[in-house]
Amino acid sequence: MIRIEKVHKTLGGQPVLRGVNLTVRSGEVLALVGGSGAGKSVLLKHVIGLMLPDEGEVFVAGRPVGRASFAELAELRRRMGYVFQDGALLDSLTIRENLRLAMADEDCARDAYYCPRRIVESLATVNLDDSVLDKHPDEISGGMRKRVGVARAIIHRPDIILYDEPTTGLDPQNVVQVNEVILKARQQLGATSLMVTHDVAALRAVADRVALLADGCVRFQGTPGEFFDSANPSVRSFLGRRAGALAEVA
Amino acid sequence: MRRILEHLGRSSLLAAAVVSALPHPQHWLAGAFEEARRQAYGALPLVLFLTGLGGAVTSQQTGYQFEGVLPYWVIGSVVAASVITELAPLLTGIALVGVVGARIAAELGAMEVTEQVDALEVIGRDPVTYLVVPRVLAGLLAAPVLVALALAASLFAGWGVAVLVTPVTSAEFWFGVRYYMRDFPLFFALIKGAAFGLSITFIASYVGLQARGGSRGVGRATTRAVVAMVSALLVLDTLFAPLLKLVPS
Ligand SMILES: Nc1ncnc2c1ncn2[C@@H]1O[C@H](COP(=O)(O)OP(=O)(O)OP(=O)(O)O)[C@@H](O)[C@H]1O
Ligand SMILES: [Mg+2]
Repeated sequence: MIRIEKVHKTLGGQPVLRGVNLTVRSGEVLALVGGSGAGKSVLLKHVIGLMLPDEGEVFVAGRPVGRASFAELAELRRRMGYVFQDGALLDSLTIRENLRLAMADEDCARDAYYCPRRIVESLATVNLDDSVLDKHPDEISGGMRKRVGVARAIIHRPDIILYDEPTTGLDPQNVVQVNEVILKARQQLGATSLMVTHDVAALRAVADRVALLADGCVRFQGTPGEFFDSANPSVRSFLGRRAGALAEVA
Repeated sequence: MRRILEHLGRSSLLAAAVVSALPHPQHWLAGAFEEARRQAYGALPLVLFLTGLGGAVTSQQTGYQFEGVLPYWVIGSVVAASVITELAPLLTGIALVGVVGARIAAELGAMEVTEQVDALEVIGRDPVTYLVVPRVLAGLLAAPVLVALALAASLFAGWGVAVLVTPVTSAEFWFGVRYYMRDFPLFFALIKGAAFGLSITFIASYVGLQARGGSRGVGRATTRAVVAMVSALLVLDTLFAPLLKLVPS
């Protein structure tokens, strides 16, 4: 469903992606892990066409994102949802307006009740009630903003969803809730998900496969089980650093 | 030099995008009116203050220079001439740069660096249609209205000062104003105002959307926008001057 082929990208004079190859199969949840600054967010932006590769190509549903026409890209994006790492809610609008803006006007015009209902529904899936609807993004907490960001990404029932650290900064209960959203999207909509995450503990529960991005390349791909048992030096060093960091905190 | 060409190219692209969004008023009409109101109310106090002072100063200067040389009603004509064609539109433009232009550049800059512009794009809403078009059309709409009010303010201030500090009577002053004011200069001032409003909001939007790199980037973009807007204002002003001469009076 998503095919990333030999993507190179240099940003600010620094090579960030150096020939990334990665395929996300239809209907699977692929977790993308990697150290901070490895280029995970940058890679995700290539998939939805917010950044263009210097070299290489990204295909979504068989179509090259970088060479798609304006209309083709718009059509692809209608099928896609994107959770921004920092939420990126429009801060001049209320939560209701933010969510409404992410829905197609035709859907709302057909049925006057559809939009309001869908807004409440999508908020409920991320454990928020309608008391936030008339607030502005700066009037709710960071974790709530993050979850509204998830709601916005799924509100138009996309079948390809890109999550940039959807659970970072959430309390344990809401981590479970958001992970559930990701799983439900797969089960009920058959959605294909590419998820950037730092939550290594949840990999087994959420991800079908794991890919590790390091030094600008995908260094490992496999099931969560294979990932934790891998002798691959990049994986060991990534997990080792994690374990070390956890130990330090403890 | 390459930078300048690049900016010219990119801003032409933005201009083209603005024009191509115009056939879909359902996406920008409400926003444009709301923004026009915001611009007009926001800038009005400063516009009235600046142009009032401008009118007063002009009138005083004229009065001193002409004392005993020409008939007094000429003061009215001279004040009207400088205020209508130059002072009121230009001071309105400068007020708009400070109150509206800087605000737009900072607003759009902040949206850009916090990925709100990317977010709009991802959810299938064209950022130009939603962010730039309403602001630019609002400028086109609000600026001439402000110029009209500015004209009134500066003429009244000019009249007040003239009557107080020079021997001219009210009747003479307004006769002079009317003598100068046949329909064209008013229209000219309003057109000039529209051009100023359009270019200020367009430059502010363009430069704001170019912001990169956090709050420092937003600050840099805002400064750059103000410099570009003030320069554009004076360049346009110079270009407009010969236009007035083209018309037989
Ligand atoms: N617009 C940009 N301009 C210049 N450099 C950038 C830009 N965006 C990202 N980078 C650089 O690219 C590298 C990768 O950034 P990216 O945001 O993808 O990291 P990440 O893997 O998502 O990290 P994290 O886990 O902390 O979110 C970083 O070194 C960053 O400095
Ligand atoms: Mg990131």
